[in-house]
Amino acid sequence: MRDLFADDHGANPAVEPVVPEGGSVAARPLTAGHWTPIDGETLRQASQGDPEALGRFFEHHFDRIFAVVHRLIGDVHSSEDITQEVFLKIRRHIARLDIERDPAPWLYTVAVNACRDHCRSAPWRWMKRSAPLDTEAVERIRSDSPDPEQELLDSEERLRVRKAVATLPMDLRISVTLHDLEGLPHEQIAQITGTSHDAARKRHSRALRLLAARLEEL
Amino acid sequence: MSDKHDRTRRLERLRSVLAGLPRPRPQAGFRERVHAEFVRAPMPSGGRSHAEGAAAPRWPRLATLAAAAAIVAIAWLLDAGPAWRVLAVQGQGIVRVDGRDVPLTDPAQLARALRPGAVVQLPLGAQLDMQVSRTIRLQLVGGSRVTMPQRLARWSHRSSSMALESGEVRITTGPAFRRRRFEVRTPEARAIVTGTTLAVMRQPDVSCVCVLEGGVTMRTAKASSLVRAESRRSVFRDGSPPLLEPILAMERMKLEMLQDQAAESLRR
Repeated sequence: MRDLFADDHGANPAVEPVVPEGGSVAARPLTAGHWTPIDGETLRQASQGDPEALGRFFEHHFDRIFAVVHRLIGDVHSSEDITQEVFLKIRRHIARLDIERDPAPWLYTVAVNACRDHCRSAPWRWMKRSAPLDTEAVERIRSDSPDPEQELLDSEERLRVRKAVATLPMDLRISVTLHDLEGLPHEQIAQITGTSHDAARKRHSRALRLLAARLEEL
Repeated sequence: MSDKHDRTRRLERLRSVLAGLPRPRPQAGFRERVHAEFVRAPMPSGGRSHAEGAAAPRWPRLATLAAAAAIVAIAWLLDAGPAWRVLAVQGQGIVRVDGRDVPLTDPAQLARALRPGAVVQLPLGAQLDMQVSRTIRLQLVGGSRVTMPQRLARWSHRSSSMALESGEVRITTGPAFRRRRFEVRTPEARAIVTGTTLAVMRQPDVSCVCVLEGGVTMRTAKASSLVRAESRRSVFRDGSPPLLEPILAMERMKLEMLQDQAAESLRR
């Protein structure tokens, strides 16, 4: 079976982001942006295989990576499979981490590439699943809301927006997910996706315009 | 101008809604399972090591080599795990093992013939149960053609695999199977068992993994999927989309029977 992350080209997870198709390697060190970096001692112990440190490493990153994958893929079962594969890969390479750097950008890169691979390998499955949105993993309307009617309207608006995001092409979906949903700046998104800062910004603008157009149709 | 203003307002509103979208949460069971795998997985080779420090004492070279060879030999002998045992045989007829005929009615001869790597063809209507200590039990269904798995060693090869060319093999594991791995390979897929009860079936051009409890990773050339309890997943040789369905009643019954039969011998 082809390695799910064959695009990695054996990249050093500490320095180089994984290179997607057509991109170039940006060998600058990355920082986590808005994400609180994991402490260096935990990272050092985790890279040496200390179980408690590995547990802390997992707790620090898992929910966020799952959220990114689920937002890109849309289906909870596929998202679980992909997230599991991502963390298996992280586990295999954790000993190679540069403990002086925050590994979060690398984790994002691995997750994004895994989602791309998944959609490339079975495009018809994505087309099939993009129609019914999976709401299982998402919060439902709070029954104790002070304004249930407004809550319902807001919830419907959120659902429309999520459906519209799900219809975007993968590159644009990645852009919106990482910038608007995860709060990463364009510079970091550029390094994660292997593009220039300018290209990342323009891609995001294009994504928002297309998203707005799709919302008009829904 | 007004259009541009409206457009800007709409985009700002859109970004506001995007920023407020709730974060998808993983299911607790899934989270715990991945957490356990992540923390317990063995460190791969090439990891960071603290093994820097004082130089080794200077032993005579030959004595050192001899001692190392002796240790390796002893470890190799101790490491060799128990052989597969034939626990039960049902039906009549002839089993073909590496092209030789072995009567089903002679379990002792059958046990001797079923070596790792042997190609075995079971006659229709027969059933063969094999087990390794209290770790894993296999049930080969009549009509199946398989390649026998290797032994499960104590320390080194804590994994084993078998090939299923046609037919069906049912598998159940015991508590002692922990941290081991068993693979069933068909032409279409690989089913990776880390502790569960399942069946792997192969008919012309389709492989199916059917799970009673636990979860089984099913890998093809294109993707990897987790087949969960109470479900079955079929992959097709011609590349047709895989099929995920609930477990069939007959399959559940057969696997529950296997669990019951193996309960004592696996000390479940």
